Amino acid sequence: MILKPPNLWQFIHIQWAKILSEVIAQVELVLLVIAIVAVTGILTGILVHKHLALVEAVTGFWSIVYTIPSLAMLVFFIGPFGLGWVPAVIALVLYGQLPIVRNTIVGLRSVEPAVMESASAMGLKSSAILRKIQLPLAWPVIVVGLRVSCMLIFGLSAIASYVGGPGLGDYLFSGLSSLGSFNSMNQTLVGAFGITLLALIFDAFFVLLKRVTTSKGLRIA
Amino acid sequence: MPSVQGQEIKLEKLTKRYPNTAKDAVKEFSLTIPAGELVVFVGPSGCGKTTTMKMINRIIEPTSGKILIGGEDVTHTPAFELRRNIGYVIQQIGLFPHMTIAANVATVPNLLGWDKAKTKARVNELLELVGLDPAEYSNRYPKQLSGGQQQRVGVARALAADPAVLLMDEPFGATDPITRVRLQKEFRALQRELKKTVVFVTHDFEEALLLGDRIAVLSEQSHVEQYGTPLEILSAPATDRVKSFVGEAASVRMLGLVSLKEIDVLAGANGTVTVPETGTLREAMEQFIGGADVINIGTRGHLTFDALQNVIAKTRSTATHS
Amino acid sequence: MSKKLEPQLAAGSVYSQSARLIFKRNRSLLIQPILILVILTLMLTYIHNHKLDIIEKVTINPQFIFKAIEDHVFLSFSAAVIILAIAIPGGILFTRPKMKRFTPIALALANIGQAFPAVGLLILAGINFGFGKPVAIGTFAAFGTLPILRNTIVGLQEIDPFIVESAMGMGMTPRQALRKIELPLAVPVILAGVRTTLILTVGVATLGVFVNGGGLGMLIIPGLKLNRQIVLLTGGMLTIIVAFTMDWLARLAEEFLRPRGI
Repeated sequence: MILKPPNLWQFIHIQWAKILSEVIAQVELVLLVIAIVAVTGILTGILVHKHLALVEAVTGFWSIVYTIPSLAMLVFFIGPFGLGWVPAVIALVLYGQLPIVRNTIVGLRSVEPAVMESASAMGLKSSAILRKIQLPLAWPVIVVGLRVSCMLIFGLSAIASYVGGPGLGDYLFSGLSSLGSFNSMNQTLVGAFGITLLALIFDAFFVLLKRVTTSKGLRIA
Repeated sequence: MPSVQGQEIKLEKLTKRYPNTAKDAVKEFSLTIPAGELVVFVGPSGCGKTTTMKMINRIIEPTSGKILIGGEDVTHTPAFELRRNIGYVIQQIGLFPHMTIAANVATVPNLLGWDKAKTKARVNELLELVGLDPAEYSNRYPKQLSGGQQQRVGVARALAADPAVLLMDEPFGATDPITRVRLQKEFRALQRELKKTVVFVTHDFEEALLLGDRIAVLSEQSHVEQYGTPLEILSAPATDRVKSFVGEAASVRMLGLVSLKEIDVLAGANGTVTVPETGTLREAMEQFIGGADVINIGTRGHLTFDALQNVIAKTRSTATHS
Repeated sequence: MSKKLEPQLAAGSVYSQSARLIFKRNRSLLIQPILILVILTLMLTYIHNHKLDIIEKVTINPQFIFKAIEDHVFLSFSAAVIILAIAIPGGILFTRPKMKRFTPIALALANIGQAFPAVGLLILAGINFGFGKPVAIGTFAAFGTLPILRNTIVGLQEIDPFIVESAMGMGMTPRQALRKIELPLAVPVILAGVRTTLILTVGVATLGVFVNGGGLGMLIIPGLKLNRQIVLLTGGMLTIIVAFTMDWLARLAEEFLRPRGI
C-alpha cells in the first residue's frame, strides 16, 4: 500500500497538538523578551535622554550590537549557557534594545522646550514632568519602537530555534533536515507561515494599542 | 543694471475648488493689479489669500478663471515657463540647503542659460542690494545664516532673473519684530527703485499699510471686501469686515500716510516750531499735542490747529471721492 | 506656526528634528576600527594558543577561512546590489506626486513582508528551487528589498516640501527639480539605505550555509554540529569582524559623500 503524502491541511490537522504547543512556546518567548526589552529599553531611554553625550554613547553602542549577525551573537551565549532557550532569550533581548531605546529617547526629547518650561514654571518636579507630560507625549513613538522590536524578535527567533530556542522555528529546521521526505515542505510551511501569522497578529495589536492609548489631543485629526 | 519694469496683472474670476470639499477655497476672484505697483492681499487666516497668490504662478492650478500678465493670457502656458519670469518668495523661504548662497541666488539665471560672468555679476549685485556682502556670504551655506539673512537671500533669489512680477507670501513672517520692520523698510525702498509688480500676502494690516500702493482686504473664499489705496481704506472702510480688520484709531494712523509736501499751507513762516516737509501729518499733529500753536512746514508756509483740521477733512473727502 | 519654523531655521536642517538625532555624526567611526582590531587580536591569540585537532583543522585553516569570507562578501554584495537597484529607484518613484496614492499600499506590503522570517524564506526557496549561491542571493534580495524600499520612501518624505515648492515656483520642471534639488538632498537617505542594506545582507548571509551557499556560517554550523567550541567561536568572531568592517566602511562613505550644507 502506498500512502499518499499528506497535504498541508492534513498535516496541520494531524500535528495540531504539537503545533499548538510550539505556538504557545513561541508566544511565551516573545512575550518574555518583549517584557524584558520594554522595561530595560524604556528605563535606559528615560535615564539618558537628557544628556546628549550619553544619548550618543548608548545609541551608538546598541547600533553596533545591532550590526552583529544573529547567528554569531547566539554562538557566544551557547558557550556559557549551552543550547536551549537561555541564549535565545539573551540574544533577542540584546537585539530588541535598539528600536526601543532610540524611540524612547527621541520621543522624550521631542517634547517642545516651551512645554517643558511651562511645566517647570508651574512648579512640577522633574519626575512629575516625566510622568505627566513627557511620557504621555512620547508614548506613541515608544509604542512604534515596541512594534518594530517585536517584529525583529519574531524574525530572529526563527534562527534561534536552530540552537534550541523555543518556537515554530523548529519546524523550519526539521523541514530542512528531513528534505526529501513527504512532510518536509509541510513542516517548512508551518514554520514559516506560522511565525509570519503570529508576528502580524502581534503587529496588529501594537497598532491598536497605539491608537487606543494615544491621547485625543495628539491624534492627527 | 536697469531693471525690467513691472507688468499689469489681471485676474478674472479665479476659482479654486479642492476635491471632496463643500465650498470653493477661492471663489471667482477678479482683480487688476496695475503695473509697477505693490498690491497687498490682506485678510484673516484661512481666507484664501495665499491660495489666490499661488494661482498666479500656478503652483496651485485654478479650477477655473483666467490669468493675464502684461495683457497676455497665461492660464495655459507651460507652468515652468511662466514661473521663470515670476519671482517667488514664500514664508518658509525654501533655500536649497545643499547649495551655497551664490548658487541659490543664481538658480533662475542658470535655468535661463545666462552666461557665467553675467550671472556672477548679477548675484553680487543682488546680494549687495539686499544688504549682504557678497565677499562674505557668497560661499556660505543657508544653515550658517540667521533667519533674517536667509529671508534676504530669498528675496535676492527671487529678483535674480529680473522678473516683471514678484509674488511674496508673508516673506518676513518668520523673523523677530525688530528684524521684520527693518526688512519691511528696506524692501519698500527697494521696490520704489525697482517698480516691479508685486503681489504681497500678509495677515498683518500694519505691514499692508507700510508697503502697499494698494490694498485688497479679503474675507472667506477670498471675497474682496475693499480694494483701494491705504488712505482710502483707512478713511473710508467700505464694510464692517474692513472696519473690524482695520481696527481702532484709523484716523490717527491715516495721519501717517499723508506727506506734508502735498498739503495746502498758509503763507508766511511765523511759527514757533518747524516740521520738515519730509514728514507726515502725524508729525505735525504731535507738535500741536505737544503745545505748539503755530508750526512751520519746512520753508513753504505754516499751519494752525484749525488749518490742520481743514487739511484732514479735505484729505478724507478726496480719498472717499477718488 | 512661527514657533515650529524657528527650530528649522535656526538649525538650518532639512529634516525633522527626530531624524536629525539619528543622523548625528557618530563617534563610532573611531570606535569601530578599534573594536575590530581588538576582536581580531583576541581571535588570533585564541587560535594560536589552542592546539587544533584534526577535525578543527578542517575549518580553521587559512584557505577555508578565506573562502568562507570571500563567499560571504560575495553573497552580501550581490544581494545588496539587487536590493539597491530595486529599492532606491522604487523609493524615488513612489514619492513622485503621480504615484503618491500607491505609496500607502507599498508601505503596507513592506510591513507585512517584514513579518516573514528570513530563514523561513531561505529554506522554502531552497526546498523549491534547489540549493546553491543563486538561490541564496535571490532569497536575500527578496527579503531585503521591501524594508529598504520602505526606508527610502520614508526618508524621502522627510525632505522639507517647501524646498521643493520653491524649486517649482522658480520655474524648474519636475525633472529638473528632481535632479538638482531632491536627489542631492536625498543622498544622506540613500547612503543610509546602502548601509542598512549592507548590514542586512551581511547578517543574513550567515544563513547561506543552510542552502549550501557558503559564507561564514560554514564555520558556525559545523562548529555546533561537531561540538567544537573553537570553531564555533572563531566563526562567530570572524562574522562579527566582517560585519563591523562593512558597517564601518559604509559609515565612512556616509560621512564623506554627504553634500556640504546638510
